[in-house]
Amino acid sequence: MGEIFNHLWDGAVYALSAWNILAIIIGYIIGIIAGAIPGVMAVTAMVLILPYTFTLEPLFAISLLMGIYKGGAYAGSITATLFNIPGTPEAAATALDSYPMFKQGMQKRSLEIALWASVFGGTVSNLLLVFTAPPLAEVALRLGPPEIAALILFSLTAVITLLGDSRMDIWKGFISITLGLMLATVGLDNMSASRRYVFGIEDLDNGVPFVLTIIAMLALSEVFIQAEKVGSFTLGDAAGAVSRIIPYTWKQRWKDLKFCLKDLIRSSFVGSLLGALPGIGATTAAFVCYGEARRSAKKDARFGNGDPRGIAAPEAGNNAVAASSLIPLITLGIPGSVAAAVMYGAFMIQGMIPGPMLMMEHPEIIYGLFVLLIITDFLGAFVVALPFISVVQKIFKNLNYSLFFPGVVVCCVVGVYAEEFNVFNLRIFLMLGFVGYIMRKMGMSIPPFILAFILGPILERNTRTALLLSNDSPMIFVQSPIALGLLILAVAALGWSLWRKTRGAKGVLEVPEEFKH
Amino acid sequence: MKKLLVVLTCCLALALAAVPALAKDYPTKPITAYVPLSAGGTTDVFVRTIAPYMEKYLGKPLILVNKPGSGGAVAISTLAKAKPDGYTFSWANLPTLVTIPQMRKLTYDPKELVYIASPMHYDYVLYVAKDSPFNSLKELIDFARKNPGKATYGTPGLGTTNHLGVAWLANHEKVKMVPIPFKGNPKSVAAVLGGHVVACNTSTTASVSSFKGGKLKPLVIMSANRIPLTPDTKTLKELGYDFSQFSCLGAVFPKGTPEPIRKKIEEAIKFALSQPEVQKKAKDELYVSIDFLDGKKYRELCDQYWGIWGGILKEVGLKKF
Repeated sequence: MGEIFNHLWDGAVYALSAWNILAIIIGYIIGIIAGAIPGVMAVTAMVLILPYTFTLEPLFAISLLMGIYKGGAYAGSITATLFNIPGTPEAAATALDSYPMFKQGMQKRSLEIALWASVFGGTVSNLLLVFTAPPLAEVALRLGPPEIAALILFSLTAVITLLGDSRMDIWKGFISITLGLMLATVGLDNMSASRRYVFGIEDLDNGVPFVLTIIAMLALSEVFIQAEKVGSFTLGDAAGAVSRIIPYTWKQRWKDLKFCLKDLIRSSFVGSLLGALPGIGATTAAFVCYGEARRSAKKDARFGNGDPRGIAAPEAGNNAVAASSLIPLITLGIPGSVAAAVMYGAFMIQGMIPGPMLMMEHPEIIYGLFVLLIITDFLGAFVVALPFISVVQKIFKNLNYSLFFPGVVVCCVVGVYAEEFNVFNLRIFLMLGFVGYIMRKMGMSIPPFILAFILGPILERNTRTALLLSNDSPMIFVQSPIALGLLILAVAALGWSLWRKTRGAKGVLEVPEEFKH
Repeated sequence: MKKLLVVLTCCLALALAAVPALAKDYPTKPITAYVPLSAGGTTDVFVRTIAPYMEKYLGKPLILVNKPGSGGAVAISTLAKAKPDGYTFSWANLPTLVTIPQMRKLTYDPKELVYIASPMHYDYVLYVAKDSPFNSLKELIDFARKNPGKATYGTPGLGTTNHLGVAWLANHEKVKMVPIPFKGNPKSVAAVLGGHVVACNTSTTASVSSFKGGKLKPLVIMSANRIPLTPDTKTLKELGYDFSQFSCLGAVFPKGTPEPIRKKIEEAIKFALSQPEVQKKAKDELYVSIDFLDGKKYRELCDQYWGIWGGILKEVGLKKF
């Protein structure tokens, strides 16, 4: 333990220079802008900037990318709160409660809860990265295909809490999940590379791109919904609520912290654990944390109507993923997420290969990075995010919404194009936006679709890999105690949520607030 | 303001007039080059390392555009539709020209492309975990012979040369080894470290960190030559097999690009490879082998491996065309 502090001190001496701190701030600003613009992901910004880091100093380049990563991880919640359009997919869960809270005039409160929850989750995960990375990586390695498949199945059940309470809503939710899983099968089959549902179109070989689908379903379809009302919009009267802004007092802040503390802690740990497993990602973590917060709350909780825990849990969870997804990278040299793969690239460009050797040969670089990571959350929150949200609030108070929504569409189109520079993608984008619009009109909720779309390929790959390993015997899922435990948990969670839902429902068609558009 | 506008218009007119220049003046404007894999991987970093020297030789900027997807086929099919005026070329991995066209229908015919040159080839190593009971390739094959279906190996995807190389070996030895496809080399290495598969056949870069960290044991070099990373590990050839796993990076122009233009880019690549900085970075940081092949040799090797890899694809049931 003492050794770690020594390394941290050396790392701090090595890394804490004015330039690196400036790099973090610049990066955080870029990240927060990219994350806040619907359609532009922080990862997209990282990928676009990556080639230019070729000529930069190693730690400057890496701090810059770290800043973007962390800034983007928080910023998605800003547009989620203000317009119900998550700037990044991981903020989709946040929108379920932050948008209703905003509509009640408490925009400062919802934006700040998201920010402090992000800092909390980020910091817990930073500390876990510094102090427990090797054992955590060991655990992550031991989880093989059958365990991951069971874990994904369990994560999918978090969706159930997102569904409405009536029988009708549950059925619609299942249709939504099925559609998401179906869309995920388009493209080259990820095991044998045979084509599925591509109709001879080579552009579809890669499948329907991830970012594109999420932006289309979450942002574009929301713009279509809002466009219906555009005639009735007036200046500064978005949802008829922005005119009255309820101030957020210190007393209220303290109360919210105490109220959310349990969920913050749980979500930070759950997010960190999910982040350490390769390929699961922040969106899943956000939904699982949201689901867990909701499952553990009392039946009379105001989830979906602006419950602070519904903002704190997913934000802490998705920000916890940021640092912990670097665990496999730093301890094993294996990038566990897209963003970690970009960081891997950044190291490679600097002539370093991340992994155990880098940790042994140049601990000052790795620990320097840790120190920078730890300060990024605070630096970003105080220096960049707080001023940013107060500016954003001022701008959006007097915003002409009939101009804003076309602007969102432009940003989305640019974001989608920037991902692969392929015009074909824009066509799928428009089509999917329209599909999302129809689904919303029919009362099907979008988040289960997104979660299924993200988890589907991981579930399929791991299930099939497990079966390959076991010579097609499904016993592999019950032989591993971890997989068996997770499967039992999944079934129990499913049964319990459904039982709890149907008990109160009595067949009444009540649409929960978060799905009313 | 008005003056400035006039000057700008004149400049623009001049610039436009210069476009249909002759091949001997080539290049007169920046050249776009597609990179078939995502930014930050070995291939990408290698290409970005040699690009400045190619620019120096050509006197015009080289714009590198990452077009990952479909194992690299996305970049090549975009290239195949480009104008053959010498201002668009693509880096290409061997599978996009040799194995993928035999596995699925594509919108380009790799035999029609103009092969510029190949600057380097990849090296492949078959690893087992450090605590694995196998200390030689022979022991692994004996195990596979006694336990059919138990000898699993990680690959970065079915139909990759990593898969086909071991498939050739298993076929040659008449044993059953089970390929397990993972999403990329790093995950295939992770599966060995976690004990989920017995072995993995990976490109060197993905394994450097784990190998140096003492977590992997190399059994055999699958590619043609011994490598500096594991100097004591023998190659397949040295163990008496008449086979080596070959995959290289090359550059291709669309069909119909004039020969003088091809020659110019070939020379630019050769010039870049002669730089000591490039050679050092390739050896010490990227763990790839610089191995210049001119357009003709590159094409010949691709043709030769069309047959070799095609035969193995047929044996494993992946050959469709």
